[in-house]
Amino acid sequence: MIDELGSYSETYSFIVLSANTNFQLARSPWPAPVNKKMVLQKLSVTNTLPSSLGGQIVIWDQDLSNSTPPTRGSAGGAILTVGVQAGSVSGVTATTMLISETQCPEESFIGGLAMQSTLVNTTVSATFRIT
Amino acid sequence: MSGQKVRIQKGQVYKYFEVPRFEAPKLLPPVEVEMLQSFPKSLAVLSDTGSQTQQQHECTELDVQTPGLGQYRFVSVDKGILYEVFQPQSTSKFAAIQGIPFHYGTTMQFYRNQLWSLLPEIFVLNDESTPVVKVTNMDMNRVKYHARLICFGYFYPLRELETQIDPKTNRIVYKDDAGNLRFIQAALTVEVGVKN
Repeated sequence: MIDELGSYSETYSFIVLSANTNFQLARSPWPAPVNKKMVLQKLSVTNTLPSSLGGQIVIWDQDLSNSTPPTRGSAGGAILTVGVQAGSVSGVTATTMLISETQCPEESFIGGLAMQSTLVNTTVSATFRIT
Repeated sequence: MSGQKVRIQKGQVYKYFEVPRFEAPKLLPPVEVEMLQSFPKSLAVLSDTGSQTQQQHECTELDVQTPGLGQYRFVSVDKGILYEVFQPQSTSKFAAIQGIPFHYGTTMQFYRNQLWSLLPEIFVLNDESTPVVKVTNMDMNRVKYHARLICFGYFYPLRELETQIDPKTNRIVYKDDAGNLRFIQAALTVEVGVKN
Protein backbone atom coordinates (compact mmCIF):
# COMPACT_ATOMS: atom_id res chain seq x y z
CA MET A 1 0.00 0.00 0.00
CA ILE A 2 1.29 3.45 -0.89
CA ASP A 3 1.60 5.77 2.09
CA GLU A 4 1.24 9.23 0.62
CA LEU A 5 2.76 12.09 2.58
CA GLY A 6 0.63 12.83 5.63
CA SER A 7 -1.32 9.59 5.40
CA TYR A 8 -1.25 6.19 7.05
CA SER A 9 -3.38 3.04 6.93
CA GLU A 10 -5.84 1.61 9.46
CA THR A 11 -7.98 -1.53 9.35
CA TYR A 12 -11.35 -1.91 11.05
CA SER A 13 -13.55 -4.99 11.40
CA PHE A 14 -17.16 -5.53 12.31
CA ILE A 15 -19.65 -8.41 12.67
CA VAL A 16 -23.18 -7.61 11.53
CA LEU A 17 -25.49 -8.50 14.42
CA SER A 18 -28.83 -7.96 12.69
CA ALA A 19 -29.85 -7.78 9.06
CA ASN A 20 -30.99 -4.62 7.31
CA THR A 21 -29.92 -2.36 10.18
CA ASN A 22 -27.55 0.62 10.04
CA PHE A 23 -24.08 -0.09 11.40
CA GLN A 24 -20.94 1.99 11.63
CA LEU A 25 -17.82 0.15 10.56
CA ALA A 26 -15.61 3.14 11.40
CA ARG A 27 -15.91 6.88 11.96
CA SER A 28 -13.53 9.12 10.08
CA PRO A 29 -11.25 11.27 12.26
CA TRP A 30 -12.89 14.51 11.12
CA PRO A 31 -12.78 16.53 14.41
CA ALA A 32 -9.99 19.02 15.15
CA PRO A 33 -7.07 18.79 15.53
CA VAL A 34 -6.95 15.78 13.18
CA ASN A 35 -9.32 16.77 10.33
CA LYS A 36 -8.77 13.75 8.13
CA LYS A 37 -10.87 11.52 5.91
CA MET A 38 -10.69 7.81 5.11
CA VAL A 39 -10.10 6.39 1.64
CA LEU A 40 -11.11 2.77 1.10
CA GLN A 41 -8.25 0.53 -0.01
CA LYS A 42 -9.29 -3.07 0.64
CA LEU A 43 -12.46 -4.86 1.64
CA SER A 44 -13.11 -8.34 2.97
CA VAL A 45 -16.65 -9.66 3.51
CA THR A 46 -17.28 -13.12 4.96
CA ASN A 47 -20.66 -14.82 5.08
CA THR A 48 -20.72 -17.20 8.04
CA LEU A 49 -24.43 -17.89 7.92
CA PRO A 50 -24.94 -21.68 7.55
CA SER A 51 -27.54 -21.48 4.84
CA SER A 52 -27.75 -21.42 1.11
CA LEU A 53 -28.68 -17.73 1.10
CA GLY A 54 -26.54 -15.14 -0.58
CA GLY A 55 -26.88 -11.47 0.14
CA GLN A 56 -25.34 -8.07 -0.19
CA ILE A 57 -23.91 -5.25 1.86
CA VAL A 58 -24.49 -1.62 1.04
CA ILE A 59 -22.03 1.09 2.01
CA TRP A 60 -22.35 4.85 2.26
CA ASP A 61 -20.55 7.82 3.85
CA GLN A 62 -22.04 8.92 7.16
CA ASP A 63 -21.09 9.41 10.79
CA LEU A 64 -24.07 7.81 12.48
CA SER A 65 -23.17 9.39 15.84
CA ASN A 66 -22.82 13.00 14.73
CA SER A 67 -24.60 15.03 12.08
CA THR A 68 -21.83 17.63 11.69
CA PRO A 69 -19.84 16.02 8.86
CA PRO A 70 -21.52 15.81 5.45
CA THR A 71 -23.31 12.65 4.39
CA ARG A 72 -23.02 10.98 1.00
CA GLY A 73 -25.42 8.22 0.11
CA SER A 74 -27.81 6.22 2.27
CA ALA A 75 -29.03 2.67 2.76
CA GLY A 76 -31.31 3.13 -0.21
CA GLY A 77 -28.75 4.97 -2.31
CA ALA A 78 -25.46 3.28 -1.55
CA ILE A 79 -22.16 4.43 -3.01
CA LEU A 80 -20.87 0.86 -2.98
CA THR A 81 -22.72 -2.46 -3.02
CA VAL A 82 -20.94 -5.76 -2.55
CA GLY A 83 -22.52 -9.10 -3.30
CA VAL A 84 -22.05 -11.87 -0.76
CA GLN A 85 -22.11 -15.50 -1.86
CA ALA A 86 -24.04 -18.14 0.05
CA GLY A 87 -22.15 -19.42 3.06
CA SER A 88 -23.17 -23.04 2.90
CA VAL A 89 -22.94 -24.57 -0.54
CA SER A 90 -21.25 -27.80 -1.57
CA GLY A 91 -19.91 -28.43 1.92
CA VAL A 92 -18.38 -24.95 2.23
CA THR A 93 -19.34 -23.41 5.59
CA ALA A 94 -18.25 -19.86 4.90
CA THR A 95 -17.42 -17.75 1.86
CA THR A 96 -15.24 -14.70 1.69
CA MET A 97 -15.35 -11.92 -0.87
CA LEU A 98 -12.01 -10.09 -1.13
CA ILE A 99 -11.63 -6.81 -2.97
CA SER A 100 -7.94 -6.11 -3.22
CA GLU A 101 -6.12 -2.82 -3.46
CA THR A 102 -5.93 -2.95 -7.24
CA GLN A 103 -9.65 -3.66 -7.57
CA CYS A 104 -11.13 -1.51 -4.83
CA PRO A 105 -12.83 1.77 -5.74
CA GLU A 106 -10.99 4.51 -3.82
CA GLU A 107 -14.11 5.91 -2.22
CA SER A 108 -13.60 8.72 0.29
CA PHE A 109 -15.44 8.77 3.60
CA ILE A 110 -15.67 12.19 5.23
CA GLY A 111 -17.96 11.16 8.08
CA GLY A 112 -17.37 7.44 8.26
CA LEU A 113 -18.28 4.14 6.68
CA ALA A 114 -21.91 3.26 7.39
CA MET A 115 -23.36 0.01 6.15
CA GLN A 116 -26.20 -2.48 6.09
CA SER A 117 -26.16 -6.19 5.34
CA THR A 118 -29.02 -8.35 4.23
CA LEU A 119 -27.46 -11.25 6.17
CA VAL A 120 -26.76 -11.52 9.87
CA ASN A 121 -23.30 -12.67 11.05
CA THR A 122 -21.55 -11.16 8.05
CA THR A 123 -18.00 -10.16 8.97
CA VAL A 124 -16.68 -7.04 7.28
CA SER A 125 -13.08 -5.89 7.40
CA ALA A 126 -11.88 -2.79 5.59
CA THR A 127 -8.48 -1.15 5.21
CA PHE A 128 -8.39 2.60 4.75
CA ARG A 129 -5.78 5.18 3.97
CA ILE A 130 -6.29 7.96 6.53
CA THR A 131 -5.43 11.10 4.64
CA MET B 1 33.79 18.36 14.82
CA SER B 2 36.41 18.76 17.53
CA GLY B 3 37.21 22.37 18.31
CA GLN B 4 33.82 23.61 17.10
CA LYS B 5 32.54 26.54 19.15
CA VAL B 6 28.90 26.35 20.15
CA ARG B 7 26.80 29.14 21.59
CA ILE B 8 23.95 27.55 23.52
CA GLN B 9 20.93 29.71 24.12
CA LYS B 10 18.84 28.55 27.05
CA GLY B 11 15.86 30.81 27.44
CA GLN B 12 17.35 34.30 27.50
CA VAL B 13 20.71 33.16 28.83
CA TYR B 14 23.57 31.88 26.72
CA LYS B 15 26.95 30.29 27.27
CA TYR B 16 29.80 29.40 24.97
CA PHE B 17 31.14 25.88 24.69
CA GLU B 18 33.49 23.98 22.45
CA VAL B 19 33.77 20.36 21.46
CA PRO B 20 37.08 19.42 23.16
CA ARG B 21 39.90 18.38 20.87
CA PHE B 22 40.33 15.14 22.82
CA GLU B 23 36.66 14.21 22.29
CA ALA B 24 34.54 13.49 19.26
CA PRO B 25 30.81 13.53 18.52
CA LYS B 26 29.13 10.18 19.05
CA LEU B 27 26.12 8.52 17.53
CA LEU B 28 23.01 8.35 19.71
CA PRO B 29 21.52 5.06 18.50
CA PRO B 30 17.75 4.85 18.10
CA VAL B 31 15.85 4.76 21.37
CA GLU B 32 12.17 3.89 21.53
CA VAL B 33 10.28 6.12 23.95
CA GLU B 34 6.74 5.26 25.07
CA MET B 35 4.61 8.32 25.78
CA LEU B 36 1.74 6.60 27.60
CA GLN B 37 1.59 6.20 31.35
CA SER B 38 2.05 3.00 33.33
CA PHE B 39 -0.16 -0.06 32.81
CA PRO B 40 -3.02 -0.24 32.01
CA LYS B 41 -1.93 2.38 29.58
CA SER B 42 -4.41 3.57 27.01
CA LEU B 43 -5.17 6.78 25.19
CA ALA B 44 -8.83 7.75 24.92
CA VAL B 45 -10.42 7.99 21.48
CA LEU B 46 -10.56 11.22 19.52
CA SER B 47 -13.58 13.14 20.72
CA ASP B 48 -16.09 15.02 18.57
CA THR B 49 -17.19 17.21 21.50
CA GLY B 50 -15.20 19.32 23.94
CA SER B 51 -11.45 19.20 24.34
CA GLN B 52 -9.32 16.21 23.50
CA THR B 53 -7.92 13.88 26.15
CA GLN B 54 -4.16 14.10 25.97
CA GLN B 55 -1.37 12.38 27.80
CA GLN B 56 2.11 13.73 28.22
CA HIS B 57 5.51 12.29 28.97
CA GLU B 58 8.67 13.98 30.20
CA CYS B 59 11.32 12.33 28.07
CA THR B 60 14.16 11.86 30.55
CA GLU B 61 15.26 9.04 28.23
CA LEU B 62 16.70 11.77 26.02
CA ASP B 63 18.87 13.42 28.69
CA VAL B 64 22.57 13.25 27.85
CA GLN B 65 25.80 13.12 29.82
CA THR B 66 27.11 16.32 31.39
CA PRO B 67 28.57 18.39 29.85
CA GLY B 68 27.12 17.61 26.47
CA LEU B 69 24.64 18.48 23.79
CA GLY B 70 22.21 15.96 22.30
CA GLN B 71 20.74 16.39 18.85
CA TYR B 72 17.65 14.24 18.26
CA ARG B 73 15.30 13.58 15.37
CA PHE B 74 11.90 11.97 15.85
CA VAL B 75 10.05 9.29 13.91
CA SER B 76 6.62 8.05 14.94
CA VAL B 77 6.36 4.28 15.33
CA ASP B 78 2.63 4.05 15.98
CA LYS B 79 -0.01 5.06 13.49
CA GLY B 80 -2.85 7.34 14.51
CA ILE B 81 -1.06 9.27 17.26
CA LEU B 82 -0.54 13.02 17.13
CA TYR B 83 2.64 14.21 18.88
CA GLU B 84 3.43 17.73 20.08
CA VAL B 85 6.86 18.57 21.51
CA PHE B 86 7.31 21.13 24.26
CA GLN B 87 10.54 22.34 25.80
CA PRO B 88 9.87 23.29 28.54
CA GLN B 89 6.35 22.06 29.18
CA SER B 90 4.72 25.42 28.42
CA THR B 91 6.63 26.25 25.24
CA SER B 92 5.90 24.49 21.99
CA LYS B 93 8.80 23.71 19.71
CA PHE B 94 9.20 24.45 16.02
CA ALA B 95 8.50 28.20 16.19
CA ALA B 96 4.71 28.13 15.89
CA ILE B 97 2.53 29.54 18.65
CA GLN B 98 0.18 26.57 18.67
CA GLY B 99 2.91 24.01 18.20
CA ILE B 100 3.29 21.88 15.09
CA PRO B 101 1.98 18.40 15.70
CA PHE B 102 3.41 15.51 13.73
CA HIS B 103 2.46 11.88 13.27
CA TYR B 104 3.35 8.66 11.45
CA GLY B 105 2.24 10.03 8.08
CA THR B 106 4.47 13.09 8.33
CA THR B 107 7.62 11.38 9.61
CA MET B 108 7.89 7.77 8.45
CA GLN B 109 7.99 8.57 4.76
CA PHE B 110 10.82 11.08 5.28
CA TYR B 111 12.67 8.48 7.35
CA ARG B 112 12.27 5.80 4.67
CA ASN B 113 13.50 8.17 2.00
CA GLN B 114 16.43 9.27 4.17
CA LEU B 115 15.26 12.88 4.21
CA TRP B 116 16.57 13.37 7.75
CA SER B 117 16.44 17.15 7.56
CA LEU B 118 12.65 17.07 7.24
CA LEU B 119 12.17 15.18 10.50
CA PRO B 120 11.30 17.08 13.70
CA GLU B 121 14.55 17.95 15.49
CA ILE B 122 15.39 19.15 18.97
CA PHE B 123 18.54 19.78 21.01
CA VAL B 124 18.96 18.92 24.68
CA LEU B 125 21.66 20.24 27.01
CA ASN B 126 22.81 17.77 29.68
CA ASP B 127 19.71 16.90 31.74
CA GLU B 128 18.62 20.51 31.97
CA SER B 129 16.24 20.77 29.02
CA THR B 130 14.20 17.58 29.03
CA PRO B 131 11.50 17.74 26.35
CA VAL B 132 7.85 17.00 27.10
CA VAL B 133 5.76 15.24 24.44
CA LYS B 134 1.96 15.46 24.45
CA VAL B 135 0.00 12.82 22.54
CA THR B 136 -3.54 12.78 21.17
CA ASN B 137 -5.40 9.81 19.69
CA MET B 138 -6.28 10.41 16.02
CA ASP B 139 -8.75 7.53 15.98
CA MET B 140 -12.45 7.93 16.83
CA ASN B 141 -13.09 4.19 16.95
CA ARG B 142 -10.68 2.67 19.43
CA VAL B 143 -8.32 3.54 22.23
CA LYS B 144 -4.59 3.27 21.60
CA TYR B 145 -2.25 1.25 23.77
CA HIS B 146 1.02 2.55 22.36
CA ALA B 147 2.31 5.98 21.45
CA ARG B 148 5.98 5.53 20.69
CA LEU B 149 8.64 7.67 19.12
CA ILE B 150 12.00 6.50 17.79
CA CYS B 151 14.57 9.14 18.69
CA PHE B 152 18.07 9.11 17.25
CA GLY B 153 20.86 11.55 16.60
CA TYR B 154 24.27 12.69 17.84
CA PHE B 155 25.91 13.53 21.13
CA TYR B 156 28.45 16.34 21.23
CA PRO B 157 30.68 16.38 24.33
CA LEU B 158 31.27 19.96 25.45
CA ARG B 159 33.72 22.05 27.46
CA GLU B 160 32.47 25.36 28.77
CA LEU B 161 34.53 28.35 27.73
CA GLU B 162 35.32 31.05 30.28
CA THR B 163 34.24 34.16 28.46
CA GLN B 164 34.57 37.84 29.19
CA ILE B 165 34.17 41.12 27.37
CA ASP B 166 37.44 42.49 26.06
CA PRO B 167 37.44 46.11 27.29
CA LYS B 168 39.42 47.34 24.28
CA THR B 169 37.21 45.92 21.57
CA ASN B 170 33.97 45.17 23.44
CA ARG B 171 34.01 41.71 21.87
CA ILE B 172 33.50 38.41 23.63
CA VAL B 173 36.78 36.61 24.25
CA TYR B 174 37.79 33.39 25.98
CA LYS B 175 40.94 32.06 27.56
CA ASP B 176 42.61 29.27 25.63
CA ASP B 177 44.63 26.46 27.23
CA ALA B 178 47.72 28.66 27.33
CA GLY B 179 45.84 31.46 29.11
CA ASN B 180 45.71 33.75 26.09
CA LEU B 181 42.55 35.73 25.32
CA ARG B 182 41.06 34.82 21.96
CA PHE B 183 38.08 36.06 20.02
CA ILE B 184 35.27 33.61 19.48
CA GLN B 185 34.75 33.20 15.79
CA ALA B 186 32.19 31.22 13.83
CA ALA B 187 30.19 29.86 16.74
CA LEU B 188 27.20 27.70 15.95
CA THR B 189 24.13 28.84 17.88
CA VAL B 190 21.83 26.16 19.27
CA GLU B 191 18.65 26.87 21.21
CA VAL B 192 17.48 24.57 23.97
CA GLY B 193 14.55 24.89 26.33
CA VAL B 194 14.90 25.27 30.09
CA LYS B 195 14.04 22.65 32.70
CA ASN B 196 10.36 22.33 33.55
